[in-house]
This record gives sequence, C-alpha cells and structure tokens, in this order.
Amino acid sequence: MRSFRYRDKGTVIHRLNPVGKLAWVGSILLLALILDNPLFLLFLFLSTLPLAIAARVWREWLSFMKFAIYLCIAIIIINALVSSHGTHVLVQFPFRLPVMGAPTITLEAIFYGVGMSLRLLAIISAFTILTFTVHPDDVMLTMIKMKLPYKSVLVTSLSTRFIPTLIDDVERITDVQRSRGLELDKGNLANRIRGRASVIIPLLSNSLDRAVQVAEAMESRAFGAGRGRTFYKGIRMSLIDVLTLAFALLPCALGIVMRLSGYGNYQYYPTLGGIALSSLEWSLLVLLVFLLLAILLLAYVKERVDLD
Amino acid sequence: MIKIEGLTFYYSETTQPALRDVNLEIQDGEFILVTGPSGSGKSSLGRCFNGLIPHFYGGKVTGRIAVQGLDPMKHSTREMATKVGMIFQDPENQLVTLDVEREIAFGLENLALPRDLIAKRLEESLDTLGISGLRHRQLHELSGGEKQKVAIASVLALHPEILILDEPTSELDPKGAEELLSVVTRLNDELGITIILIEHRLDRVIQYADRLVVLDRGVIVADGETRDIMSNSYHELSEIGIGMPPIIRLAHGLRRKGISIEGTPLTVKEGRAVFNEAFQKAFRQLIQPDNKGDGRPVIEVRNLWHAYANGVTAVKNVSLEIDEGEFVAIMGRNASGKTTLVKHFNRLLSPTKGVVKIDGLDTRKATIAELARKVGFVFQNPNDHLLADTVDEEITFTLKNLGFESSEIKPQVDEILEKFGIKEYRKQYPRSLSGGEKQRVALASVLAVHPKILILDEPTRGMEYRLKSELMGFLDEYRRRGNTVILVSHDVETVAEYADRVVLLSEGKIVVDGNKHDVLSKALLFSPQINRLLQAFEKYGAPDNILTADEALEMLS
Amino acid sequence: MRKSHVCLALIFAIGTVAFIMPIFPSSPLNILLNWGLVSVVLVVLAIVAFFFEFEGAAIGSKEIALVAMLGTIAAVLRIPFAAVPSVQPSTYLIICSGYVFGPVAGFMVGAITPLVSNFFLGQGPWTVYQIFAWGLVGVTAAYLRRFGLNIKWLIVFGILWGYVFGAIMNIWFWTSFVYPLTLKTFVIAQLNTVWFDTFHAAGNAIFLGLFGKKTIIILERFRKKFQWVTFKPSLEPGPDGHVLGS
Repeated sequence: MRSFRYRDKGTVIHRLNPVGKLAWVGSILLLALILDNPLFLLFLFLSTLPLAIAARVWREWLSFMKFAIYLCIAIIIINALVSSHGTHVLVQFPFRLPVMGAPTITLEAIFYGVGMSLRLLAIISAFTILTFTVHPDDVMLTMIKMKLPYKSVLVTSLSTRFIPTLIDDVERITDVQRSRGLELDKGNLANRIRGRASVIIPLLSNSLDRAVQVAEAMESRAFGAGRGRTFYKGIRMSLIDVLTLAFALLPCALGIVMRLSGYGNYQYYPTLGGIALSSLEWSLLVLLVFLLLAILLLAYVKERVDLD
Repeated sequence: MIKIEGLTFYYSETTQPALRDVNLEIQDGEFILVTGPSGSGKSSLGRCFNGLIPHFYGGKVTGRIAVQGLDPMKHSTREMATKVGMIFQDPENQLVTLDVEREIAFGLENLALPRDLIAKRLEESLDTLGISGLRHRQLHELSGGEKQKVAIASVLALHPEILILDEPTSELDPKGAEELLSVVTRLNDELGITIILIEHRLDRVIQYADRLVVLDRGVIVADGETRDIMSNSYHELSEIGIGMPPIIRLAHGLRRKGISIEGTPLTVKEGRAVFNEAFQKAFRQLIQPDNKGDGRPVIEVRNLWHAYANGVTAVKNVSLEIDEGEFVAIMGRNASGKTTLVKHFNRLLSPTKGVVKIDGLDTRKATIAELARKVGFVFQNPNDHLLADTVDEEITFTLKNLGFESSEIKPQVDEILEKFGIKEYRKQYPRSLSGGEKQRVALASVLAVHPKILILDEPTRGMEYRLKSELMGFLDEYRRRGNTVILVSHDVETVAEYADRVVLLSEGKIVVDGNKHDVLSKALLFSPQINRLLQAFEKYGAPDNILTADEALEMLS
Repeated sequence: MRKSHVCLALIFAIGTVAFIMPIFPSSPLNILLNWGLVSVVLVVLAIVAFFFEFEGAAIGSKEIALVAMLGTIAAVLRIPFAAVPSVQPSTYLIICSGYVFGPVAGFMVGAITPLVSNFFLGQGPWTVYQIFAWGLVGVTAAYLRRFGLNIKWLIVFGILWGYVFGAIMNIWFWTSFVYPLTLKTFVIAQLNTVWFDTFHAAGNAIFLGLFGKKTIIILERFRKKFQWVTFKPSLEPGPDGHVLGS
C-alpha cells in the first residue's frame, strides 16, 4: 500500500513541468463539466489513457479505476431511479416509495447515467495520473508561485514531510501496545475504537512534543526573521514548459468557445437526441483530442531537448 | 565571545531555578563539552545562547549575557540565527522540508537572501559536511546519521560563529555517532567555529573537548581543562551521577590500588602509553563464570527466514536456542535484522519460513496476547508505552488486556508498584514524570504479568548513566530469579558489563554466538574500550578476554 | 481590504450570478454555468478565503508546527495501512483541535487532513469538498466552545457532523452527475451514502464519548504550557451558508 503515492519512475510524464500537468488536469476537469455529449466525454476519457501508459502507472491507475466503477454504478442507478423526465419508459414499478413516488425507469435516464459515468471516469483518470506523477512538494511550490499564502503552504509542506515519520510512529506504537496484549480488531465498534485510541493517545502526546521541537528548530534557523523571504527552488519554466502550459490551456479555451457556440452539448431529456456528429463537430472533437494529447508529444520533445 | 554573568532562569510556573547564578566566559574557537545529569540545566543553558530562552519558552531570567556582542534576551532567536547555530537531539524533529537542497536553503530563504547567494552557500555547506552525494535525495530515505549531517549543513549555511549541539548523537548508532563527531571536530579545527557540545555520555566525546563544564541542579560545579577535571574532580563527578569512561575508571582504580599512573588518559592510544609500566607486572588469569542458564530452552528458533512485504529479506536462515535464566545480548549494525528477529519472539512478526517456539509453543499457533503473558517486550521510548491518565491505570491496562480478573488486578498492581518504587506516583499522570520514572512505569506495565522472558529493544539509547545502571540492576535481579532477558543493543560497554552471551548478527545472519568474553574481545567495532586497550599488553601476557574496568582491576591484583 | 474579504465578496458575487442567470435564458453564460462547476468554484474560493485568514492571523513557528502536526496525525489515520479500515478518527481529532485551539487553527487542521492524505489516497475534485467540510468541522467546533457548550454537546455535534459531512461531500456528486437538481434527487443521493454517514457519525460519537475529554485535556495541557499566542478569531461564519444553499 505504501507505493500508493508519487514515485519518481523517471518517465517523460514524471519529468514534465508540474505547472503544465496541473493545468492539463484542470482543463480535463473543466471540459468534463461543461461538455455533456457522451461521445465528447468518451474521447475525453480516452485521451487520458496514453498518459497513464507513458507514465507507466497503469497498474496503479487500474486499482483507482475499480473504485470509479462503483461510483459509476451508483450514478446510473440513482439517475435511473430519480429522473422521470424521459419519455421512453422501460420499467414502471407498480408500487410507490416515500420521497420518490412510483419509480419509473426510462431509456433517457439510463443513457444520462452512462454519459455522466463517462464524465466521472475522465475526471478520476486525469486526477489519478496527477496523483502518481506529480511530487507533492511540486504541488506546494506551484501553490507558492500562484501567490497562495505562504504560511498555509508551509503548514501543508511540513505536514507532507511528517507523514513518513508519523507512519513509523503509528506502526511502532501499535507494536508496543500489541505487545501489552492489546487486540485491535476484536469485539464491537466501541472496542475497536478503544483499541485505536490506545494508539492515538500516545501518538498525539508524542507528536505535540515533536511539534515543539520542530518549532524550536525553525526559530533557530531564522524562521520569521523579516517580512520577506526568497525561494531557492523556483519552478523554472523553459520554452518547452511554457509551450506545454499553453497547450494544456488551449483545449480549455476551445471547449468554452465550442460550448458558447452550441457544440459539444447533447439532449438527453425528454427524448434522446441523435448521437451522430456533424462533420464540423467531428473536426472539433479531433482538434480537442489532438490538443489534449499535445502534452504527450511535448513531453517527448522535452526529453530530447533535455538530453541535448 | 560569550560572556555570562549571574544568569538565573526559572521556567514559568516553577519555583526551582533551572539555572542558578551561572558565570561563564567562552572564547572564540573553543570546543566546550557541557555535561551533567538529567535535570542539571545543561540543555537550558544551551537555549540561552540563542534566545530560545526566554523568547520561546517564557519564564523569568535575571543576569547578563552577551553572545558575539548581542544580547539574546533582547534579540530574538531569529536575529541570533546568523551568530549561533543550534542542533537538536532528534534529527527527525529538526528537518522541515522534503529534500536535502530545500532543507539547507530553508534558513537562507528565511533571511531573504538572493537565489544565487543561496546556491553558493548551499554548495559550500554540502562540501564542508562532505554530503554532496546526498543533495538530490529525499530526507525520509536518509539514515539518522545522514539526517543529522543535513541538519548541521542547514545551520552552517547561515554562517554561524558558534555551533551548539544538544546531545546530537543520542539517536544514532555508534558508526553514525562517530562520523558525526568527526565532522564536528573538523568544523572546529578547520573553520574555527566555536563548538558547545551538550552531552551526558562522556566516553565518545571527551577526547575532543578542550574544556569541560559540568552542571548539577542548575549550578556550574566544575569548569576547566578536560584532563584537569578528570584528574581532580573524578569523585565529585561520579557522585552527581556522571558516567566516567571505562579507561578513566581504570586509571582511578589503579591509583586506588596504589599503582602510580602518570596523568589521566582520555583515549585508548593515551591509555596504552600511560599504563605501559603498570601492566608489565604479573597477570592473574580470570576464570570467567559461565552463566549458561539451566539448559532448558525457552526460545527455540529453527531456520527462520523473514521477508517484508517490500521484498527486503531481513532474517536469513537463523537458528538459535535461548535457555531459561540466560541474559543474551543481540548486537549488530543497523538493519542487520536484530529487531526483526526478536519481534518473532512475541509474534509481532510471523516467520516467512522456519519455526519459532516459545516455551515449547509454536508462535504461529498463538496470538500476541497469549504470548504476552510469557514474553514481555519493552521498547526504547517509554513515551510509546504511556497512554493512561494515572500510573495505576497504565499497569491495569496490560493486566486487563491479558484477561486478569479484577480481583487479581489490584494486588498485582500494588506489588509491582512497590517493587519499582513508584507507589507514591500511582495517581499521577505518567507523562509528567521524569525520564527515569517513566522508564520504570513502562517496565512495570510489562512486568506486571510476570513474563518469563523479557525483551528490550535498545533500552539504553540516549539514557544517562545513572538511569542505565538502575535499569540494568533491575534486569540483573530479574534474571537471577530464573527469568530470561534478551537485550537488543548497540551499547557495547553495557553489554560487556551485564550480559552473559552475545549473538552478533550481520545482514540477517548470525555471525557469532557465544560467551560475551569470546565474542566481544578482539572484534574491532564491537569491542569495549578496555579490551582494545589491553590488546596492546598481550605481549606481556595480559589475557585477551577482559572487557570492563572492574575485570581489568581484578586481573591485576 | 483584506484578501479574505475580497474572496468572500467574490463568492457572494458568483453565487448571486449563478442564481440570477436562469432569469435570462438567452445569456451565453447559462450554457457554461454547470452547477458542478459553480459549486467547485465557490468551494475553492471559500477555502482560499480561509487560507488568507490563516496568513493574516498573528501566528509563529509554534502554531505552524502544531497545526501541521495535528493535521498530519488526522491524515495518517486516514491512510489504510496505518489505521483501521472504516473507522476514521480524523473527524474527532479535528473537532478536538478546533475546540481547543480556535477556529483558524481548527480550519487549518481540517484542511490539511484531506490535502495531504489524498497524496496517498488519490487527489480529485473531492479534495476541495473534503477540505471545505473538515475545515468547517474545525471552525464550528471552536464556536461550540465559544457558546459555552460542554463536552457532552461534542457528541451530539459529532453525530451531526457525520451526516453534514456526507451532505457536503454529496454536493459534488449530486451537482455533477445527477439530473434534475431537485430536493428529491438530493435526498436520494443522500440515501445512497446514508450507511457510510451513519458509520461516520457513530464513530465520531464513540471516539468523542470515550476519548474526547482525554484528548481535549492533552491538548489543553499543551496549550497552557506554551502560553499560546491565541489565533485571532476574525472570521465570520459567512461563506458556508451560500455554498450549502446553492
């Protein structure tokens, strides 16, 4: 389980500038939310896959997708049950339920559920790639560069720093208490919680002592010396990085323009619209996918440039 | 230069001063060792130099203090940071970023230095500490010793004129400690940085210090050239509970016997020269008592393998038998598999391959809780044990877990509190007790069920002399009653004094297993100081298996 | 003008626009105003406002280290290999932190918890809702004390938050994936997670009931020992009302 976190696998995706990757994920999120045509959403999802493969995180990616499938099922069921806006009734239940009334399942509602599942898959897929390929500290750094308040970022960064230490603490204290006969997973919920607390209470007290020492060490190294501070490690943007950022933002802009001019939407209710796309829509979709995949191309270009 | 006049300090809400009328003058470039038993005020004194006292801790200060022309009572710790650098005990608690470069840059960023200057200082610090190879590493991957070096580098980058180190080696293994100390001496020798080393253990550090300052209950009781103090104030220092290095104990022991010794040796090398004459006499071969237990095995390990989920095989084909009544030390470098091995004895870990039997019972057929009645396990830090509101409850917790009837619990608790001399604290909050008392509570909470086997993992690490001898006294007595003690330790001197048998592990395998006199003699890294000293006198017929000062004195009589 | 106030003004403006837009069906903005998007933007702005509040508070290294450490504990206890599946002590710890150290610290501890643990568990749009929800847990716990409510109320409070937390988390699911957005469909989305929420609520209640007092005593002892520089409570409980109501 410990591997469920960023590991530098050294692929072109890992080496990409974090700002570009964050922007790319942001674009996917925005596009997924403003577009509702299932074909567009499907291609949005598909265009994240090459990155998972290039980053060699598909194994981890799959394990996250399993969780996404459960959510998809929930989306389809809930939409099927709650929406009575569709006209093609597939099932009409003969009984009434509180709140919901007589449940009716329509073709349109199921189709809507499928469309929304694709929306969810695209979002989770993009974020999963982010989780596995961007160093937490680079996220912090990007936050600093975005002029987010430094103290908040520092707290977050300190916390990331202490995760491994505290995990070791938890494991050690658990061993100590188990050696004293504590059985963690025995009995009912209250007993289990009692067991948990036998670990949490020493952990809490020890960590508070740690906090004091950390603060002392920070003071001793001139923390809070003046109003200003500098940053040694900036996120340096090379030409390629700027290009990557631009290409990550372009699909977002294109999506907004498309939506404003009426493309990429789809009529689910009251009756399903035609799924066939016009040739203009197809070309827009191809352009969108191309722009989304440009990040991959640029990643390889960056590798070549870095090597030279 | 540091000049302190009449410094008295009270922590808030205390009536006993932590420091009382301290007067001290330290010249630039000195290497000063500040020592004293726990609670003597040595750490408090260190925190006065950079203003952590009173700015961080509050409390009441009187007297005058000047550090490099600044007054730390008026200037904040942050302002003092470019004059005084401070290194703390636990490397884990003084690193605030995720990787080495950012860590070293942190202080410089706080001073708002421009980026190119930070880059220069960073380079310089890495080179000075000799850790350029670590620069791109993540901090959590580093060993304790490496982390501590990064901490020093990050302080050094601020170009302090004075470096204060508060027990910097107490969390490190002997090798890491040795390396760290050599770095510190180099900073003093080559860069002329004033070093103030706060340390309760003298044996590793004494030869480096020009000057020794000894504190007891907030008062400076000795201050002078190291060798002078060791020669002239030996008894006073022993009395306040400072552990003397074995070689100095030997020198004083010989004097007491009427053998004249020129000067006081601080290192093995000096010792060989100083004792040369005294040791040319006849030696008495000692018959080493062989405490081999009564031959009934309580722990049987057959072809044990253990592989962790991350693929590391920590124990490889280990077979071992430990008898009732034995006192066994398990030694080895870091990651040699010591802790992994002993965690099999109470089933915290299960064998990947092989069998572990406790008192004839296969551990795979028992739960940890069942084994806990037979096997007590005490970990290094008593704070990891303490979870209750009172000492009473702390001990009751174990007994309840192990299914004792409530009628049995009360007398059991009373008995164990009595035995450990902590009855007066029974209604107190365990965490507010002193270090030694906490250790006793943790031990009592494990021993309350009278296990036949007691395992201790690094119990003496960072422990001051008095507490250590108190703990070892308990263990010795416990063993005498027919129980088995297993000690996982790096502490060669303690093992040499108290254990019977030593099992030495390396890379998951047993390298040597036998009587301590055989295992610990002539083994460079794991030989006690006296043994290393006496190796030079073998040519005069000195026995090669002497381990402690007491044994050496006996041999000479 | 404080940056946090700018943020609050922005939240208010976006909320108002979102509400008024349906009156102008021909406006192009209407197409883009997907509710999922609107709610994400509002929540993010609310969080940013809190972060600026934290920045403005008179705090030093002690407070920063403490908040980071408490947040880390709550985060570590969420990660399955370090704790038990299905019983999450995070909420109880955040409640106690807010109760003892005040709203700003409470918010930060709550915010750190998902932000950091999701580097292990997976980041996503849900992260911002978790930050918001747990942050509010911390803030409201602090007000609980200000109104003189004692530890017994904490249990009721913990149960309540088990469900409110679920409701906030459902907002993103509901606004992004369910049609139509009516009270009825919201209730059904709620029923979908009622089992988890009940478990969460029960866990909170038991943790607080058995160990709330003890935890608070430990935190209090620590606060007194270090003569805490108190966090300045300059925060009005403003933004949440808008977001919850949208």
